[in-house]
Amino acid sequence: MEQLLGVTDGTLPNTVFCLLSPDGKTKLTRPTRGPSIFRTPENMAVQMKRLASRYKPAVPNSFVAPVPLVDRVDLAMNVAASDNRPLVVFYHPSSADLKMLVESSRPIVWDAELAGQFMYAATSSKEDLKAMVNASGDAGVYIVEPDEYGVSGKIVRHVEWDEVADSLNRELLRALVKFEPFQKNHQQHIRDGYVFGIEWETIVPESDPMSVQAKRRFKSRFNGMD
Amino acid sequence: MRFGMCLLPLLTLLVGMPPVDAEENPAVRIVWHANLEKGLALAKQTNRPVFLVSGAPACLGVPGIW
Repeated sequence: MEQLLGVTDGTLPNTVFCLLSPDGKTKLTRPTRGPSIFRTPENMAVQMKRLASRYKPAVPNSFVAPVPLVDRVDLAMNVAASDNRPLVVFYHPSSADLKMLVESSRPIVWDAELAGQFMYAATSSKEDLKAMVNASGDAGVYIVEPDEYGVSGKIVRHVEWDEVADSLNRELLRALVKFEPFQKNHQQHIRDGYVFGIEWETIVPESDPMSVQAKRRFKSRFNGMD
Repeated sequence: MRFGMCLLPLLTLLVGMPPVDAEENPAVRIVWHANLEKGLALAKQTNRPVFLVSGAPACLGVPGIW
């Protein structure tokens, strides 16, 4: 991504916003920390539509995109908690059957009422279900409400793998109606995270000295560590 | 500020995204593709431009918040 955005290795900012051409090679906007370059949401919509109109869609309207899976269940749980959304986990011990399960769910996931409302992950490892309280281990689709920190989740519904076509749409809509997002206070969330020892280690170790120092400062302020 | 963290690329393709209406329940939301390679491959396949946002699902090492 550093190459893509034209920044020096190791200097990618924590948040980056950019519009790119369909081949991902040409920047259509200058990379920035956020979309504030557009000034207003209305202008952003106008500019995005203008840029999109340059490219003719290469697929028919009937095209259904793949299920937007997050790479790992634990990461998906964290992302779902960060976005304050419920999580859907596809599980089947057979990789081939898991693939079929996910593929058969495509049209449901992209249903207009459901698109964008859930995070998705898929796994064939029963071990990955451990963070989901009382997971039966049965193959199928688990609809999960993550805890505030996204380290565990409560299963609110389970759809058996052979009932997906008949029931998944209905069960997702029901789960959505019942879902109540957390009211999070940023400062309080971080303070409580340190108090209760809930931390997230990134795959790539944090290297920026300013960020590392800030983390240390926050920790010592909230729980006297360091 | 620079971060050497594992950033999660969030992409969406510019295809008919309806505007968010705060009055709607549930609100209309963006569908994010949380894998850079897969998102870029889909953009190429569909010839749709890419809306790229990166972020870490943790603030100061605490998960559950951007």
